[in-house]
Amino acid sequence: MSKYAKAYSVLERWKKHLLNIPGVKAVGITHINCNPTIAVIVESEDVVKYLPSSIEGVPVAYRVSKFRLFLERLLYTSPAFRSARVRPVPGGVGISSTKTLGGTFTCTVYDLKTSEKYGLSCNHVLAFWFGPVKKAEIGEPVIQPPKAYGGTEEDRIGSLFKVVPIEEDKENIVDAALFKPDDPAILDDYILDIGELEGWSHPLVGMEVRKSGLSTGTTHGIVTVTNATVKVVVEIEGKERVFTFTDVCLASATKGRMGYYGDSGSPVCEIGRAYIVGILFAGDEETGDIAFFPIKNVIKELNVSPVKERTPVYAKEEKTKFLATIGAVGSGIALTGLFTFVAEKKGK
Amino acid sequence: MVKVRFIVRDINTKAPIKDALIQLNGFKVTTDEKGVAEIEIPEGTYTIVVTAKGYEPYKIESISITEPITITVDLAPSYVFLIRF
Repeated sequence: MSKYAKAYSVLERWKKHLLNIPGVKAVGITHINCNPTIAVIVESEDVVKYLPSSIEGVPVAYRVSKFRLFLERLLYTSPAFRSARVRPVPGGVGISSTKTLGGTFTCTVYDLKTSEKYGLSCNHVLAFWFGPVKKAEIGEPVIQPPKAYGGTEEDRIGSLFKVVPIEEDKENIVDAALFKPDDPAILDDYILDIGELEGWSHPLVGMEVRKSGLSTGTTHGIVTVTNATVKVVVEIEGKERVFTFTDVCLASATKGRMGYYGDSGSPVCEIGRAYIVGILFAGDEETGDIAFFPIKNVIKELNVSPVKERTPVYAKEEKTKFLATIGAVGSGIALTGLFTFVAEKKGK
Repeated sequence: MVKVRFIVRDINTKAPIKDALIQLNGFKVTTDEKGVAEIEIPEGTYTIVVTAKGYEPYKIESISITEPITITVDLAPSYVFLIRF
């Protein structure tokens, strides 16, 4: 068994017990000195005395962070162009339903079977279906700008179409909802500061990422943990309830903070190419670390694609490889010609 | 209710381990400076997990507890340090 496979299987066997340690917020996999390491996110240094240094030989590392959903506390720090009314609506600006405060519009997505156009964001941004609570019903108007920034029914862009409910007694893999635009032309394929998506990929530890969101705009960071199981506390009807999300990734900003309240729904993309890797849904208000779920889980749960052209990503990579090969062959021919020329000259 | 006493020690030196966390299903207790912890729990079958900084964790699965008992757990030290990242 490879050291990676071993780390994943050890995590699977021990994650329940690690999450039961008081003050442990999340567990996942990180890489330290090129070794897969079990990452434990704790809410304070006081918890560290209970943490093992290794489990079945796999090293353990910890980080102090307090993850919460970035919701219900918009701080009105948004750049004007992300909180103002804009048509067509690009990814990275504020939206909400008429029953929720607001968050970030992730991007336009396309049904995998019918190619019909929808808008994507977090469940807690558009609908808030948490356990027994449903703030917005299917068909509820979706507005841009969001309610928190003065949006009203006159700013309607569509209606709530599909929601993945978040349950207390299961491991949730996404916090996502779709809305159907009143007119397909009202949604732009463009994401602010990122451009039109060319594809999607899977986040890896060490990957450099950027996100485009309502409150903090475009920020950059590094994926620090993958395969994480995170306990998120949500206040519902005056009572704190714990919801568990699994297959989550964590990222930290390279400078400043990566996200804040109102950034939920932000597309998290690769740096260097317009490939989406996930959707921001939670974070730590003190450190600015973010939690996001991989885009592949949205594709699986909602049967939608974030790219209009449904060419598989590998096809584009093949095209790139082909062009590189042509380039290499071309260079080879040129070099051969040059060497022949030099040899002929020397021969003279 | 049944009283369970734990003694948690270093496997090599037999020195007591302070602040070891013992989980018995939903119940939790920590050891004192003598490496001792006591807890009263309902009779039943438990999975016991012991964790402490600097050591490999220890797990006993499906142990039936029906009468007062003392359980001695010897933890093996880790050969790596717990690091902050």
